[in-house]
Amino acid sequence: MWAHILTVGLLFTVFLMAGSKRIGALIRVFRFQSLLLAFLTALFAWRSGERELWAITVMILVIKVWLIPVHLEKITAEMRSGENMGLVLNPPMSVIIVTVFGWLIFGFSDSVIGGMSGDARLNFSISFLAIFTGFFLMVFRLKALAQIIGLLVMENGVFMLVSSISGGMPFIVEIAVFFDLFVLVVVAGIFVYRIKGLFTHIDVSRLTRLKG
Amino acid sequence: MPIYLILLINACCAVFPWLTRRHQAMGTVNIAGHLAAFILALVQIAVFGAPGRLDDFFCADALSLFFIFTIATVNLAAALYSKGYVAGEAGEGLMSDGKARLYYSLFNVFTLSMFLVTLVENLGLMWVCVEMTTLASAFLVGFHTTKKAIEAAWKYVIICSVGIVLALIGVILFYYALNAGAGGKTLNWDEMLLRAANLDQRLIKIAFIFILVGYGTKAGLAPMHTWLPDAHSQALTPISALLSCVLLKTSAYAILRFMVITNRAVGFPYAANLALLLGMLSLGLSAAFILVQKDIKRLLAYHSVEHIGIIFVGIGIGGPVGAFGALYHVFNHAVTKALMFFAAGSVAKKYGTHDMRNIRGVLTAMPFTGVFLLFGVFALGGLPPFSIFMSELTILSGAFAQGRYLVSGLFMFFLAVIFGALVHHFSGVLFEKQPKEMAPEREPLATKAAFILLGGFMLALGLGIPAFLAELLRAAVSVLTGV
Repeated sequence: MWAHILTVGLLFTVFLMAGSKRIGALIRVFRFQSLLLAFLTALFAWRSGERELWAITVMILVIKVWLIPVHLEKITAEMRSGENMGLVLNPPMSVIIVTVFGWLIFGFSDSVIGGMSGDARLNFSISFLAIFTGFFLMVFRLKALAQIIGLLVMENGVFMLVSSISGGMPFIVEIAVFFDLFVLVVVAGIFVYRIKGLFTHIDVSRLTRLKG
Repeated sequence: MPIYLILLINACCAVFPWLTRRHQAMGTVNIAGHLAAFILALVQIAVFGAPGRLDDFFCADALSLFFIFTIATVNLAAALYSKGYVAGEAGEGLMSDGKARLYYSLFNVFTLSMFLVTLVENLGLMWVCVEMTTLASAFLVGFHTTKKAIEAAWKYVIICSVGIVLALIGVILFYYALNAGAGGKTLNWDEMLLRAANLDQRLIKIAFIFILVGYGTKAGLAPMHTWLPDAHSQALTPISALLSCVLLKTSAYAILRFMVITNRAVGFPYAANLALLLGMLSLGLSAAFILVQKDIKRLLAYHSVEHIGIIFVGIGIGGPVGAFGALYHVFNHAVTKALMFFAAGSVAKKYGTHDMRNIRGVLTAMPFTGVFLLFGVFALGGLPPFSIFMSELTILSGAFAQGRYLVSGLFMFFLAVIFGALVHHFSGVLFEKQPKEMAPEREPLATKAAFILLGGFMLALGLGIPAFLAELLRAAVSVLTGV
């Protein structure tokens, strides 16, 4: 039952993200989503008794719930762009699009992996919906910070996919992926500072000097 | 053993710049390190051959060794060119000693991560290494914090990271297919290959599409190539060469690894047809952009899309001949394009512009570079006796032998268009009158050495393949085709 509650919670965060108007809200929802993911991993760890899953739970808590959101909030505060993230599509429209895609993904999930149980199919669909939503945020939110968060949401979706369908990848790979992700956020963060410093804005739709 | 030494040398070269203040010393040690790595790669190939599995993490079969040799060659040339390049930038006050330190250090982190991609046995760790190449090179693309460079670096990081997330989904689906179908909990390539026949075919087909689109983004395949012209044109010149000549190839290498498993699981034509489609698309699209290009480095960047297209057409045609041509082309394109980027970089520096309409009379203004640029243009366009001609001919003969006349016809048509565009662009650049006030250029010794090294390979491999390389290529082809 707990697994169901957590999965539905994850689905809920996906819609909250599509409906967020401000970057601050997006970061808070991302933190909450990562927290749910950590609980879900802990639940798997408790059930299977695998020590490695506990280690991964701790890593999610440290990197995704603590370090990355704090780093992003710091950048947001310094950029003073927390109020606006360059919406191309308004929140209600975004939620409708994400809902439609959720329905489509659930429909198609059976043809990707045949013979899944109901639970597995639900997990699979929610993971792909999270990946899609991350991608959606990257395309339809124009501020550089929102793109970083979009990428992180995609990665969260991939992580959900790993733990739901294959019970986790080899431990060393998971650790390496976490490390990579953290470096990515730091690198992208540095570039956000540079964009702000040079262009005095972080609106990526106005980065149009290179063409053809 | 030489393989571990190559990795160790790269790591040491990444640390060394922090121990000195003088950029000349950093450059010299960098050259020495990459020369040693190049010699070690040669020794490994010629003396020891492909060792196969080394330990729990590393595995070097013929395919890995071939890519290692390619990377080591271009690294050496880039290290040679870097010395003069950094000295030039420092002389103009564009690069302080501190920045030179950062440059040399990141240069080696970048090359190290590329070596690792070709060596790790675990396909999950390979994914991590591919992402590391992006992160290490991002700062080298945006090294000069100009608006254009930062824009290019941002696009590079974001587009490639999205691509690589898609590739991760592919890796996971492969892992799941293995888990569910063949009962194995491993991401090791050879173990996956052993069990490939038992995998769920439908799932593998979908997973391979994720891999092809994901790593294909990083490999510069159209239509996912949009980051490439920006990043290649804005990066520092030696880095442009590394990006175009070896970074794209390491991503292609990752695709090849998955392709072998996919071929074993679902039969030959499926993955090959997808590769052929994207290869042809890259070739056609780049032909159109090459025609209208005015920026010399962007022109070369679109040539990278073209040549990665040619490589994938070769793989798509398949069979021993197609695969041989494709791998041969990997090396030929690497040496030729590195030479072209170095020449174009020196020319753009001398004339102070990237716009080819304002660059005139390079042959008289820069005789040494000009001659190599001239040969490079012919080589890149696919004229004999240069090596690209040989590999393109091999691919084409593979296509003809299989009776694929439409593919062959399109292939030749696009190559003809691109050759015409190349001659059109460079005839003015090379032959017309130079600006009056320009003094003849004297290139530094290390830069000349880089040109001679690459030009030598370009010509020698057009005349014949040395025995050790031919043997390596054949062994690599047999890894690819499974016969």
